[in-house]
Amino acid sequence: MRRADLIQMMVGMLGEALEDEGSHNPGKASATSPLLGQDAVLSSMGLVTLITDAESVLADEHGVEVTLVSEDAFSRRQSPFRTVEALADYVLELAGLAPGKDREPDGTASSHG
Amino acid sequence: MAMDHIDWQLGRFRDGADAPAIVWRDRPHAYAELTNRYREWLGRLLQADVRRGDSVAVVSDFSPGAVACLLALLKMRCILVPLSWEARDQHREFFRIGELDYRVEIDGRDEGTVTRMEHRRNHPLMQQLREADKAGLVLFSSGSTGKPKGILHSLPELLNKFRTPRHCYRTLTFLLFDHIGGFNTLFYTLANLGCIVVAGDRSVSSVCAVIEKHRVELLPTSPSFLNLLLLSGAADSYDLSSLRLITYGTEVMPERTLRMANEAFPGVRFLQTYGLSELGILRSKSESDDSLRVRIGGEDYQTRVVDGRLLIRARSSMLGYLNAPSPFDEDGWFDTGDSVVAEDGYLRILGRESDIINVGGQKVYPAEVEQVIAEMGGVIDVSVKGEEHLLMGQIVAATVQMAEPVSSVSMRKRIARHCRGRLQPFMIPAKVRVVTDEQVNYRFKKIRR
Repeated sequence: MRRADLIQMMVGMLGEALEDEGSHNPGKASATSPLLGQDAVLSSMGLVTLITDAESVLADEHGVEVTLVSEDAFSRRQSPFRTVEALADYVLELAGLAPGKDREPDGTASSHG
Repeated sequence: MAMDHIDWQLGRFRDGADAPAIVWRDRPHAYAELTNRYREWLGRLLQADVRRGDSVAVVSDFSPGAVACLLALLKMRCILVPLSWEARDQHREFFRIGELDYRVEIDGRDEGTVTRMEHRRNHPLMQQLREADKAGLVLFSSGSTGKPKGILHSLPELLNKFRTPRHCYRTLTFLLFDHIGGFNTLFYTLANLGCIVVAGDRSVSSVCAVIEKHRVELLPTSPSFLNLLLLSGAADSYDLSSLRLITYGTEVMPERTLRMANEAFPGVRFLQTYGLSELGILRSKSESDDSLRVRIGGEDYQTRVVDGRLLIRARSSMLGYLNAPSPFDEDGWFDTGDSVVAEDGYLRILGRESDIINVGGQKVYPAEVEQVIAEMGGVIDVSVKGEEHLLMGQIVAATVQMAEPVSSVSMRKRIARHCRGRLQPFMIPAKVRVVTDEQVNYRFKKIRR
């Protein structure tokens, strides 16, 4: 699975999640929309559901079994839940898939805590 | 000393000698015949050298022979350990906990074998019962949380209440007497010279066929079974007009199920029952046929609500667990673990406190969420439970039974859309699993998975 495809899929899911929460501007979903902190675009339940959905879709449609919410994820210096992009990188890392060449320079797959 | 229950019961059997006691495999067996079977079993047990105070398992399905054997063991003041064939995987453990001296196995032709067992006798509560020269009963809790607990009752106290005359019904049973509900149904019916109709199996169609054929009046059941019954539309294809009373218990009744059941069976009374293996079945009175509010108690029981939990003190509670510490407080109160709301002299039962889901500090009752999801078209059954979650403590996870497979994410979204406005956001399942098989166990209790 290519990183760009994964990000695209997850941005789509974020857009739907925003719509579900009654956001007036679901189009604002992007790879860099903040998912945590004061500016978070989703509620905490919305984030939990987005992550759970991502796990389900990855398992059901792509055969990739990953547990995204774990001690490991919480113990990192930079949270993998801060943006869709960071979450995608975390998925690729957990799945043992080498990050693609199109990855951004600020990718954090190497920032082990 | 007061007359033994069994001698009183045998006197009743003489009064109703020609009346049918049990309909088994579509054939009625009269009280006179049951009395003869009882005598046969008494002879067989004596021949096998079973003695007063021995602990004896009866492994069987519901049959005239099994009932006769239990009555003979009661006469001999043994400790009865009724076990169903369905629980066979756990039998070895049950034999050990029950410290068995003998086991009786009754087969599909209603014929039995008696086998000597050599378990160590060392439990003080069993010894206490033997010294008092009283018959006993061992039941096993279903063990939904952890391992099953052996529950020891003294039978004279448990059976005494059945001597008060009550209404007699033709009563269907699919619960065996290894369950407090099945045990209660059996002894209630025998005491009032009613008739037990044994269901061939627990499928909706065979239960309905038996009700129609044998004009069953009382159906003791669970909300899960009622749900299956309503969804199957069986009420339209069978003549169930003989039904006069449907009792339901063992789990929380969804409002929708009760409403639909009232619509499907307009002339039938609905009564909520409440009981626990540790305490027996309490007398209960529903506020009305379509109300979930119920008064429970009766002369043998006191109830009170502490911190939203139901506590009960019973005149005839169990002596104790055989493999766990005593759950009674120093004044004899038993904490049922059920969350309840007391309103206008009635109780509304919300569910097991251990089933309550804690989402980021907010309480979610599985039954409440299940009720809302159950309203959705295409949903055959649903069970909701908590799942550990590092971010929220727990999240709400639903397993839905559908006729056709659906992707879990699209189902989760459908559920979320349906629940919005009906439930608070934190109550809406964050995770959904779709299955196409049934989610009830052999006692028609929901499996929360």
